[in-house]
Amino acid sequence: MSGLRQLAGRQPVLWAAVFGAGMALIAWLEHHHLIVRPWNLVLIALFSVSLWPLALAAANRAAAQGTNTPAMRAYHRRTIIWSLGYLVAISIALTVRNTFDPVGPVLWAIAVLPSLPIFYFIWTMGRYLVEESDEYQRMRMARAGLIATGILLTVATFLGFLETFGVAPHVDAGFAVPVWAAGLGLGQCLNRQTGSDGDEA
Amino acid sequence: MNNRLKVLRAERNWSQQDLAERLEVSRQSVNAIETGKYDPSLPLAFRIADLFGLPIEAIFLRD
Repeated sequence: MSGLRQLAGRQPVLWAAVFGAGMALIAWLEHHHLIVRPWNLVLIALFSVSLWPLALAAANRAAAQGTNTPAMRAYHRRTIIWSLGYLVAISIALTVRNTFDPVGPVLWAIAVLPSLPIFYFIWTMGRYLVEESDEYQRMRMARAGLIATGILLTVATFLGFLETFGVAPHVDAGFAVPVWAAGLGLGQCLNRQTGSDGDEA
Repeated sequence: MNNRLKVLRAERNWSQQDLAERLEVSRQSVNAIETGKYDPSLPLAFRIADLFGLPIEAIFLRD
């Protein structure tokens, strides 16, 4: 376990890039009909494994920077749960829809299924802010969340009016959380630029 | 706001981690306060003052 933790390093962004590139590759293969079930699910599962070292790298980085509070550890643990839960849920929902073409309550159930891990993600954010007793860390997360919210509102307003005037295609509302999560990552990067992540003076 | 945390810490031969553990905050928070990048809340300022046995105004100084 400690060997794996060491192997994960301190750069969660690298593992996030591996995961993102993997998902983009799968989307491209599916778009061009170059991959069929169950190999798409196998690939998703394979690239999802990178979420584990991602969480370990985030924990290593937090430990190195002196930010590894109990609340932050719980946040990382819950992040792994909702990320994997989301992948499982979306895979099940798409497979059931494409295989059985359900209607009625079953269709409603699989349509709701991918939202449940996202609700857990929103709860995770809230719990972190409640559980974090270190006011500086709480302030940093709140600031990153405000940056993410600002980015999401900007993107949604921009795309919304483009769609209203017929110059852009419709975008599913499900895009909101990924955009917000990307904004949160950007906010945390800005925190690092303006914050106090240096070594002991 | 300026502060004398680094001096007070050095007088006691404490590392940032030592001070962080005594205050039950992260080392990064101590670093941020010490370098003036973050001004602590009044409750945390009182905890710091209590730890060093000094009044707040003997630790935190106006610019």
